[in-house]
Amino acid sequence: MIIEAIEFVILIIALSFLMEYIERKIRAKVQQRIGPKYTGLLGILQPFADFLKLIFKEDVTSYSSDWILSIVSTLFLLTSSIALAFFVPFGTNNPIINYEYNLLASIVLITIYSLFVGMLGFSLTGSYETVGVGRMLQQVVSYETPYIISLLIPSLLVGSLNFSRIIEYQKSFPLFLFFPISFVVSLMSIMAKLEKAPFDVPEAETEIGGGWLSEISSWKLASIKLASNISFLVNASIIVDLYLGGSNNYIFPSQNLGVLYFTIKLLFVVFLLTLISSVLARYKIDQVVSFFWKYATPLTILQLILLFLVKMFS
Amino acid sequence: MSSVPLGPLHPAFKEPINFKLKLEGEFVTDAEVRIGYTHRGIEKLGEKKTWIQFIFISEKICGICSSSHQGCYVQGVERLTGIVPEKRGIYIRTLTWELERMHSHLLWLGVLMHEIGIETMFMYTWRDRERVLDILEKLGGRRVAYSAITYGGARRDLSDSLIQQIIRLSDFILERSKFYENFILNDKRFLARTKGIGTLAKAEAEELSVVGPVARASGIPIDVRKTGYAAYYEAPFEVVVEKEGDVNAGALVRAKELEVSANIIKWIVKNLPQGKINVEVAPFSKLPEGETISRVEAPRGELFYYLKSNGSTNLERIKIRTPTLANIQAVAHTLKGHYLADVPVIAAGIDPCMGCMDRVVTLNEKGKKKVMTETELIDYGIKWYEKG
Repeated sequence: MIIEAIEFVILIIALSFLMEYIERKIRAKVQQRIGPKYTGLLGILQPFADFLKLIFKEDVTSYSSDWILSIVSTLFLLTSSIALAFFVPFGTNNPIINYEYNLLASIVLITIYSLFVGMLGFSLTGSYETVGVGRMLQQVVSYETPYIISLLIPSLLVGSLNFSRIIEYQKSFPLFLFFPISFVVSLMSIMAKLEKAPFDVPEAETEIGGGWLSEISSWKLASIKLASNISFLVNASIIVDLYLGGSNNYIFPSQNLGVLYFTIKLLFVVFLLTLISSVLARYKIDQVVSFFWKYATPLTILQLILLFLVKMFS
Repeated sequence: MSSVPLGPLHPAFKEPINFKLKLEGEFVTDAEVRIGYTHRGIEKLGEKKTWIQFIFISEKICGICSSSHQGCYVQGVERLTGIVPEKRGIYIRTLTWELERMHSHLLWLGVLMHEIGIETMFMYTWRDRERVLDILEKLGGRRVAYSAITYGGARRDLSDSLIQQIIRLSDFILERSKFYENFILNDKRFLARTKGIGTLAKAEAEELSVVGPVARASGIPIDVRKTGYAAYYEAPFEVVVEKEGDVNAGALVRAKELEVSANIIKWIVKNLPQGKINVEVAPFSKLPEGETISRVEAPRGELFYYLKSNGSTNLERIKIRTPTLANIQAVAHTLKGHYLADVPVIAAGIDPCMGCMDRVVTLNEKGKKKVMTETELIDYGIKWYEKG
């Protein structure tokens, strides 16, 4: 059991590096660049090389920062993002930890991730960090509500908080056809959560020099980047499971190739998110708040109301 | 209420400058600009070197508008000595200036996109700029400080194949400038970050005496090229003016000026006269006594040189006023009342070039001497430290 878990963790970390490689390659193609090329076959080991290089750098910590809190919250951040992976099915119908309410457990872990990021931000005291953490918390307050509502909408239709049931329910059609609005909102929320390009307000390097990340170095920065990559992988997988039908295939139904179908859908989501993030200009924090509270949240609630109406009259 | 220093070392600024910002949350209530971190003493160096040697130093003042500085200096010395420049040389000089304007505007567009966070557009603009730099390299021999200008005209002649390449380049830039204009006018996310940001009304712009594209974006139709130096008194072109005065209008002015530059280049190449390209000057000849000024329209605005000669081989005084110095106060003025996220956009909006800007400023305060001897300076230093 323990060996299996360790294997799974290593698999997840490797997958997250692969994901970063694919993301960087797509971004480079959009920008007419080459992207990572030399480390490993076609540069596939570049994210891992970057990770190793960061780990062996000197750890610089300022005297005014709360170093115990920063270490603790970094470790919790990494652990919570890995722990989330245990509750999410990757290509099969059943996740590693399969019990009745594993979607609920995932939502708790998704929320806890933001909490630890906030904790980490508050352990640092520079002026850029202060502004960055302020922005980050405003962003968390903005995207959290629509994201969680849009994660719960499929389970409300199916009537179960279990991923396997929701995937089984999508045997003949994916749910994003039913809920296009909340599908899009959840994609945008992932970008806000992981601070990808149009929502990279808390770390905007041209404004506040890296924001809450600017004082973090060495293994802490490497762990945070890794946690962010894993979180990207797992959150995208959740969207694939909930909205795109997980391992189901609607053109060539097959029991054995679930992992392949899942991977193709996951790559599609990654491609979509990378494309959006490389062509949009960065939001300002007031624009982020108004985007999520003026448009995203009311639209997801509208989606919820539509769902209730459908359930009532069918 | 918190005070955040922006710079001297900050990722938003490519060169050192310091803005002291007073913040209320994310809201800038007051801004103060401090300059002088890259003072290099070039004016003094110009007094030490002969008037022929300084021609190669003048282009090192700015890495981007190098030939504008060189051309402005050469134009001033020509006026001082009475050298009559060759017509073909003057045309090639003007061509260099316009190619430089193209590469500077493309560079600036890229920097603005980078500040706003559209890395893709940054890559696109800089890729286009690379083609202009290739032509400049063929014209002068180097990518950045191309030394294309000398007394009486230009240093190198244009070959027929180079003329064909220049025509192809201007067609390419004409096509790309349409794309950029379309992007600037229509991209929703770009508009949300630039429309109404850093607005400088016409009256304020006149009061702060801004120059160049910043002034033209605020609706002031000033362009030194219209005074008709070099080939500009023959070349047909129109001054691009926008009314809004915000960053978006600035971007639009520069994108349209790409088009204007491309058209001027096409006209120059078409009407290039035959003949010599420069005038030979004796290496250690003396300058006649006198003083003069010289103005050119650099990519960032009006560039001003004051030259004074006392009849020796060296100039007695060189005073340079770069466009950034004229525009930087407008930044501190427009920052007030904006969000912190807008600060880099507004600061980048004037296309600042700190390297050219920094000059020594002497304040004439009452009871204080301007010149100090060494012992006086040491005494002053000790007193200053004891006080603090």
